[in-house]
Amino acid sequence: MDVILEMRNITKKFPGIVANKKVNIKVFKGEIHGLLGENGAGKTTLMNILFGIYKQDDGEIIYKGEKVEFRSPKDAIKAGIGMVHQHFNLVETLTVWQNVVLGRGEFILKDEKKKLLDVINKYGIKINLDARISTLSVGEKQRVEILKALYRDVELLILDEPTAILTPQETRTLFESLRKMVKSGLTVIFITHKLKEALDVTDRITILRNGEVVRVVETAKTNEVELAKMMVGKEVVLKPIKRQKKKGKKVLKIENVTALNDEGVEALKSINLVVNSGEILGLAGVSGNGQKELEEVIVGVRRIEKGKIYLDDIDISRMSIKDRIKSGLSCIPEDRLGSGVASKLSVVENLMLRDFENYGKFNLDFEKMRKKAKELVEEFDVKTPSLDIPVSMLSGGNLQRLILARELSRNPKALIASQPTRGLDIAGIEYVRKKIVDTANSGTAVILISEDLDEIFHMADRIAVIYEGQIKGVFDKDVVTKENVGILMAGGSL
Amino acid sequence: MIEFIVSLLQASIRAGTPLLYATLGEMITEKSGILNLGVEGLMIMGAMSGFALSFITGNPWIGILAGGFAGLILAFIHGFFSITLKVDQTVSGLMLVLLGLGLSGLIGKSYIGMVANYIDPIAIPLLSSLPILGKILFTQDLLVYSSLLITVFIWFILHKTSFGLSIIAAGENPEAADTAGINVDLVRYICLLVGGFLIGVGGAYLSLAYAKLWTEGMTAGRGWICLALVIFSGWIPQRAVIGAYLFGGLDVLSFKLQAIGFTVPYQLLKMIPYIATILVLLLSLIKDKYRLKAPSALGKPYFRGER
Ligand SMILES: Nc1ncnc2c1ncn2[C@@H]1O[C@H](COP(=O)(O)OP(=O)(O)OP(=O)(O)O)[C@@H](O)[C@H]1O
Ligand SMILES: [Mg+2]
Repeated sequence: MDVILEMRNITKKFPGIVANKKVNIKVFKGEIHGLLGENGAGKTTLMNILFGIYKQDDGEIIYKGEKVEFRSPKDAIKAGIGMVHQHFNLVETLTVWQNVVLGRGEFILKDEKKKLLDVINKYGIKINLDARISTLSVGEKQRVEILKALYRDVELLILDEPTAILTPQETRTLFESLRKMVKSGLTVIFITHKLKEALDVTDRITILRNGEVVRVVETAKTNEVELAKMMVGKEVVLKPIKRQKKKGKKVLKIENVTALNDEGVEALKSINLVVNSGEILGLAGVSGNGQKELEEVIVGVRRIEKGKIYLDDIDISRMSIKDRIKSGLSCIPEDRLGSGVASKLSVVENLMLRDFENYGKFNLDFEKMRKKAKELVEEFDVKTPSLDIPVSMLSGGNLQRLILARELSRNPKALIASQPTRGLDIAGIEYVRKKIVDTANSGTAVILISEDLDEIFHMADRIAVIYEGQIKGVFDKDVVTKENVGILMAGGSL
Repeated sequence: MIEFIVSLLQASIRAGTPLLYATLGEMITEKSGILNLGVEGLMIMGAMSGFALSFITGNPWIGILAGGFAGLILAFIHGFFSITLKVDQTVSGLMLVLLGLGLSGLIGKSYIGMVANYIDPIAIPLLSSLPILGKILFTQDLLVYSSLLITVFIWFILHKTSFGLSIIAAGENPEAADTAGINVDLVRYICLLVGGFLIGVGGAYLSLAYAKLWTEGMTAGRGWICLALVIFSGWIPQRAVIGAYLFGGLDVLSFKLQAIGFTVPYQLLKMIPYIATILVLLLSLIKDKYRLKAPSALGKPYFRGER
């Protein structure tokens, strides 16, 4: 088989961390090559180097038999490499086709839709070319990104954790498209930390751990247990979750809450929910059906149009965010880097964000804050080279641990956890779930917002389904099936 | 009465034209993500250089070009700081205001009270003899006509060309532009320089066609109005025309009303443009429907690979 890409001895250092240590990777033409590793293993960094976003400190890249050095994504694109990033790079105010032809095409824009339709049909990508990006779901946005790459006649397509944000159905469609692509001669590098998917769709897998290549395996000759062991470095067993069920009093009460989204359209329509102390209420729904707005309304960053929210029988719906926090409300927001942390502030500052008032009125006791932060970092096992680096440099998993550390250490009365395990690796997922369950066991009322039905069924005591801003039903976990919840999530009725 | 209104409208267009040039210039600059707060400085340098060059060469068109290049040079300074060095755009922009006001005062001293060659109106045959409209629209100078062509041209570039998409992408999401292979810095430089040129032309129009003289500080805050006009027009070129003529009209009105013996203090009338700006901004805050969308990355320097 032809080698299309070889990266030799790639080393990349960031302040305080070596993200890639002498990494070697070889990719054959026409294969789907998996790049497997935990959060912070250095997968994205390696591919960013290939794509010309970072420059390696050492090592060389051989692409199609020639030594190459891409100074910018532009060079990489020219050479036939496309990359779909973990976060999307789309211009929200433009339409799908405008985003696709961006940076391309002749000076005067022609109707490129014919060529696009060909690509769409060839690989079975479902998308409306004239839709504005801001109106699309995340799954659709990803298809736009893929379409962008295909339109540029890529030969090597890099997908960075493409399934992290997809529903199971969308994942299946994506895999079908990927198979069609390799069949027609494309090569795909597929970054993931989900073992099942790696096994499902790849031909060969390179496993990264702590910035180093552990091994390269043929997918057909390996299995989940072996992969997990190589990825994590030790045996992993998924422990069942221990719930202590005791019926507590009503803690969080949401009454007839109506709210608008950013576009001024009603996103929540008379929502009623009750969460008891020590209980986890799972809110199931395809993202974009009002979950984000609900999270924001409870926390206080979005205005309530109608209705009331009670925390321990106190009406908090008109309270300031600060007062809500003081009354015992915690939140793990969906948008971690955006609203979860102040990304330019340090680890210490972010950990102390909620209660720095406890460390002095005018002059803060920094020593004490550092000490507390250090304790939290150790307790929640946040991997960071220093307490003083900006949190934007932490990997996704460690950022989530940091937020957990801050929110859970305050012993909240109520906790809103929104997509808490999205984008995390096995170890991270297990850790976050355990922490949330522990919190519930200690008496906190928890709302768990998740698109992942397995997660909801795994953790929740009761399940509410949200669709187009309305609660379609609330069920005890034991009396409802995944299928039925799935039907409600898609807008059907039982 | 009709006479009065016709001459008011005719003058409004002329008074609005420098605003239109500068507003369009600032608009394309901002579309690409660069905030140039130095409009006032660029305009006054344009006014001074334009007047001086027309005085020296005797050709007002050379003056207009010189005004444009003065704006372009100041814009380049802004680009060096905000695009190449990626420092704070607010500071660098404000610095240009001070630089422009100071420098134009200094160099322009010897031209105060001088007489140069000016840009004169041209009546377009046939069209100008139309009743009412003829006088309002078709007895203007060439720069008025060309400003309208430029408006259409900018709209065309933004919406019908791939370069226009690149500009919008650079202003909305520079990272997306970068990964699509667009040279964000280059696009921003081009918009900033072209924009600076237009702002400079607006200034030169002021001294060579509108006021027909040079005095120190003659822009009198028009640069700031143009910054507001960009917001007023919601970053849409066609609306800039309406905004500029409206504000030009308010300016003229304060003269005309005095001339016919109206007794409202002229300071009050002079305030109208600013009050109108505040009202528009308030309106845009209150009602989501009217929310005017600034380019998302406006004023933010772009670093590749920053998280
Ligand atoms: N721009 C940067 N500046 C500083 N450190 C960085 C930067 N980018 C990545 N890192 C660090 O390099 C390490 C590897 O990060 P990388 O994003 O490559 O991991 P990953 O394998 O993609 O993880 P994930 O699954 O969380 O996406 C992490 O520790 C991260 O904090
Ligand atoms: Mg990554």
